Amino acid sequence: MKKGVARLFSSFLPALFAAWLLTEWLWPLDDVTDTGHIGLFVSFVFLCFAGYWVRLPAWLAFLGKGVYIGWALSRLSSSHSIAALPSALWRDCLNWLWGDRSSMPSDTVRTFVFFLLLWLASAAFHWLIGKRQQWLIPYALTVTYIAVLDTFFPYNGDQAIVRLVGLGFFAFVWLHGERMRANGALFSIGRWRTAALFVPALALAAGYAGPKLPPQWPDPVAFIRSAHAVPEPGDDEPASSAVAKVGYGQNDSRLGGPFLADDTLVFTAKDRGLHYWRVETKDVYTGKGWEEFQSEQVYSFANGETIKHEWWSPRVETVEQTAEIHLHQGGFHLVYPLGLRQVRAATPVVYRMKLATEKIEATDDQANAVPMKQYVVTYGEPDFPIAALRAAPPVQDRSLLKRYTQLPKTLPQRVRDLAKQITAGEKTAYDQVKAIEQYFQQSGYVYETKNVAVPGENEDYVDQFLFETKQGYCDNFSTSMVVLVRTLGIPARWVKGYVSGRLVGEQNGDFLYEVRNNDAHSWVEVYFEGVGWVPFEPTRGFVNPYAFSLDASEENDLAAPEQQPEEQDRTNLPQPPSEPSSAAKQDGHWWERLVDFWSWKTGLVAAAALVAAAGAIYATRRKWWPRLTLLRFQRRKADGGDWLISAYAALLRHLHDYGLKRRPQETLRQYAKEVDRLFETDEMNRLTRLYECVVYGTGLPDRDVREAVQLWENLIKRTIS
Amino acid sequence: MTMNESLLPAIEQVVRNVEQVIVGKRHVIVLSFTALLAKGHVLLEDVPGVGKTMLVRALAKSFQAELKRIQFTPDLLPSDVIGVSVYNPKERQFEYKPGPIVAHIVLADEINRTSPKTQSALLEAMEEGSVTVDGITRALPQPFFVMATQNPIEYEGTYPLPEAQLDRFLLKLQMGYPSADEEIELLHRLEKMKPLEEIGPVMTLDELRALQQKVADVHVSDTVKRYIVELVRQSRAHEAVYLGVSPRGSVALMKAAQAYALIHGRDFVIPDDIQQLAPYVLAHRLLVRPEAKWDKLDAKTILSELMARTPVPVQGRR
Repeated sequence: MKKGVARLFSSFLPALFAAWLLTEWLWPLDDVTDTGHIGLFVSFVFLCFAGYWVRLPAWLAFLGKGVYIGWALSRLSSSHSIAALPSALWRDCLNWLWGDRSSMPSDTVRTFVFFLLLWLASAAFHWLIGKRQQWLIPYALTVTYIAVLDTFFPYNGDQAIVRLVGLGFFAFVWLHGERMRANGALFSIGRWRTAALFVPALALAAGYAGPKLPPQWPDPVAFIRSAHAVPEPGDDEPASSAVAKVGYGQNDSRLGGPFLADDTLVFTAKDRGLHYWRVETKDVYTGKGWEEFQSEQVYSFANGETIKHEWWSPRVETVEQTAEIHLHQGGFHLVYPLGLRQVRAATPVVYRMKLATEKIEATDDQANAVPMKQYVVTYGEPDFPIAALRAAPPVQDRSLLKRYTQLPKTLPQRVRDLAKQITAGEKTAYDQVKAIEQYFQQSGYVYETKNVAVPGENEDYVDQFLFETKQGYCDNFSTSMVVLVRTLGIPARWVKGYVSGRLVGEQNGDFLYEVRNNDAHSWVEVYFEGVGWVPFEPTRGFVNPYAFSLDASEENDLAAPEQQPEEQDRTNLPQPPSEPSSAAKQDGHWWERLVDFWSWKTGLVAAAALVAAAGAIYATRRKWWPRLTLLRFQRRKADGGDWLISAYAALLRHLHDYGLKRRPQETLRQYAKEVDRLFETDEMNRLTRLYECVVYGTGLPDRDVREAVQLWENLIKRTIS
Repeated sequence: MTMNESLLPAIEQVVRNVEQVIVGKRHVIVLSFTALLAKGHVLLEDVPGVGKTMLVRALAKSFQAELKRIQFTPDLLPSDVIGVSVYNPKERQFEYKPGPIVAHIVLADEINRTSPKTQSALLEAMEEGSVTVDGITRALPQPFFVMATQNPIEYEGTYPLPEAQLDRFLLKLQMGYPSADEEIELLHRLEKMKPLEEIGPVMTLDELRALQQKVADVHVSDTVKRYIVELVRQSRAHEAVYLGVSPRGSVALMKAAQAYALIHGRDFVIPDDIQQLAPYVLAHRLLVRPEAKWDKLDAKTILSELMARTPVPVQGRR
C-alpha cells in the first residue's frame, strides 16, 4: 500500500507535465483555427492522464473517455441528444464517405475524430513520458510546433514558450534526479526534487523580470516574403485574424486592439536629415477611428519637377536636403519627408498627390499605378521658430477651421473638459498644444501594444484611452491629442507614416536608415496661422524629430528651451497623486533618489541577480571549495597524524557534498568501499587504512605520510566535478 | 563477514589447514580462533551433523594439541568431568585421576543434557582455568579451550544453561548448513579419503601461547572503547530488552576485538572489528523480553538495530 502511494506521488508530476505538454498543442488552436471550446478538449486530455496516473483498468478508462466524448459532443451540437448521437455520427460519416467528399464532414464527426486523435496523442505521450521516461521527443515536437505557429501564424507564442522553457528545465532536472537515484542509493531524492521545483522557478522569474534583447534574427517570414518580393497593392492587413500585425495599414476606420511586432523591412533610406516619413494624413474622426476627407482633388507633378505645394510660410527656415529611398514593400505610394520639394526616379513616371490626404502615388501617363523601387527626394528640413508659433493669431480661414476642427457629436463632454483643464492658464495656442502634448508624458499613460482595448459600440476611442485604459500605442496617443487640440478650436490633423528608422550605417556623410514595419507610426500636425502645419509627438517613448528654435532674446532666459517651460507648466497640470513633486525630487536625499531610480522592477531584477549569484556560488561549490581545501592543506606541513585527521575530515565533508553520504552507523571501511566503487579506484580504502592507524591506532608510521598525502589529493580532486 | 582483510600469515596457515576438513566455514573457523586467542570459549549451537566435532578436531590437530571429548548425559557427574581421587593401595594415598577436562582442547558435546551440577563444574573450570579436587587446586594446561555444543531443537530432558553461565562463553556461534556447492565439495573430499587424517600440525603450542600473549598488546583507542560502551549502554536501554549486556560483556567484546584485530594483522582495534564481533559476543548476553517475539525480534535483530542506532566514531583526538 505504501509503495502504491509512493508510486502515485512520484508519477504525479510526470503525468501532470505530460498532460500539460499536450495541452500546449491545444491552446493555439483558438487563435489559428476556428476551433472553439478548447476547454473541453483540454479537460479531456487531463482526464486521459488522470486515468493513466491512477492506473484505471482499461475497460473503465475506455468507458470514462467514451462517456466524456459523448457528453461533450452532445453539448457542442445542440441538435443531437446523447442517445441519438451514435446514429447521427454514423449517418454523417456515411454521408461524407459515400456522398460529397469535396466538403468537410459535419462538425460532430470532425469533433469526434479530433477527440479520437487526442486520445491517441495522450496515449503516445503517456507511453513516451510516463513509461519510457523519454521527454525529448514530445518536448522537441511541442517547442517546434509553438515556434512554427508563432512564426507563420498570427499567434503569439511568448507565454507558451516561457511555460515550455520552465517545463523543460524542470523535466531535465527531475529526470536527472531519477537517474541518479536509480544508479546509487547514496542520494537524497527529496532534496533534489525540491531543487527541481525551486531552481527552474527562480530562473524563470529572473528571466521574466530581467531585461530582454530584441529579436536577434530577422523575422523569417519577412525574409521569405522578401525573397519573392511581390509588391502587394492595397490592403495588406490580415483580414480575419484577431491580432493585427504592425505595419502600415490603409484602413483606420476602426482603431484599437493589440498588434504584433513585425520586423519586415519596408524601405531603406540614405539621408542627411532627421525627420519622420510621411505617407498620408487623415482628418475625419468618427469616434472609432479615422476616415479620409472626401475630395477627389489631385495634384500631379512630373519626375524631377519642383512641387508647388506650400508646406509652411516663408518664416520657417529650411535647409535643403536630399534623400535616396529604396522601397522593399508596397511601392505604390511614396514615403516622403515633410517639406517635400521634388521627387526623382529612374523610370518616367507622374506623381499624383491626393490633396485630401497628401498621399503621393506614382503612375504612368495613363494614371495606372506603377510600383516604385527607388527614388530620390529633395526636401526642406524645417526649423520652427517658437516665437512665431507663440505669436500666431487665431486661424481665420473658415473652411480650414471647419475641416480640421471636426469632431463627432458623440464625443463625451469629459474629453472637452479635460482639454480645458490641461490648458488652463496657457495663453497662446502653441502653449496650449504643448501642454496637451506634455500631458501624455506624465499622467500615467503607458505605451503598450498587447493589451490594448477596442472601443465598444457606445464607446469613444479617445475617451476610452484617456480615461479608462490609459494604455496604448501611437494611434491612441496621436488621435487623442488631435481630438483634444480640436476641442480648443485649434486645427489639427492625424499623420501616418514611419519614424526615421534604425540607423545602420554612414556613407559619405549620409546616414543609412532601415525602416521596418515596426517603425510604422502616427503623429499630429497642428496648423498655426502664419506658420503652417507643425508636427507634434504625443506618444510616450517617442521624440519629436523636428527642430524648434527660440529667438536670441528668449534664449537668455531659458537655458533649456524644450524642457524648462514645461517644467514650470507642470504645476498647472492635473498630476497623478503618486508622483512626488519635482521640487522634492531635486532636493531629495540620495536615498530617495535611489529609491526613485530603483523602481520595483529593477529592484526585483537586482534581487533576482543577487539570489542567482549566491545560488551560483553555492551550486558551484563543488568546483571551487575542494580546490580551496587543497590549497589550505598544501600550505600546511603534512606532519602525519594531525594533518591527516583534519585533512580526512575535510575529505569526508567534500564527499558528502559530492553526494556520497556516510550514514552515521557506517564504519569508515564500509564507506570507503562505496566511495571506491563509485570512483572505480581503491584510493579511499587505502587512505582509510592509514587514517585508521591515526584515529584508532597508535599513529601513522612516517613512511606512510607521503602516500597519505598523495591519496588524499587524488581523492579531493575526484570530488571536483 | 566481509572484511577484505588478509589474515596474519601464521594464522592463515592454520585456517587453511582446518579448511581442508571443514568446507566453506572460514568465518566460523576465524571466530573460533579468535576465541582461542582471547582465551575464551565457544558455545556452538547447531543441529547435529554440521561438522562441529570436525572443526574442533581439525583445530586440535593443527596445533598437535591434546583433545578430549565429553559427551554430556543426564547421569554424568562432576567427577566424570574434572577427575577423581582414587586410593592407591600401593602408595597408600589418594591419587588424582584427571578427568577429560584436563586437556588443551575440550569438546563438550550437548552440554545442555547434563545436570546443572555437572554443568557448573565445567563452567567453573572454564572460568578459572583450574580444577579443584579434594581441596587441591590444579591448573589446567595452557592453552585451554572449550568448545561446547548444544542442540537447539530438542528441549525434552534438557537443562538449559542459565543466563549467568551463558556469558562464560566468549562467543556463541552457529555453523549452519553448507551451501549446495560446498556440500558437493564435501562429498568429493570424503569420497575416497579421510581429510582429517591427512592434515598435520602447522603451529606449535608455544607459538599459539605467544600469540595469546600478543593479544593483550593490541591497542584499543579511547574512541573505540567509547564505541563499545555506547553500544552496550544502548542495549540496556532498548525497549525489547529485559536485561542488557553486563560490563563483563563489554570486556568480552573488547578482548575478542583485540584477538580479532591481531588475527587480521593489526595492532589496534577498529570499529569494524566491534561490528563484526558484536553479534557473536553480545547476542547470548541479552535477555530479550518474551513479548518481543511478537515483533519477530530476537537478540540478533536487536543487535543489528543497536548498531544501526549507534554512530560510529570516525574522529578521535579532536
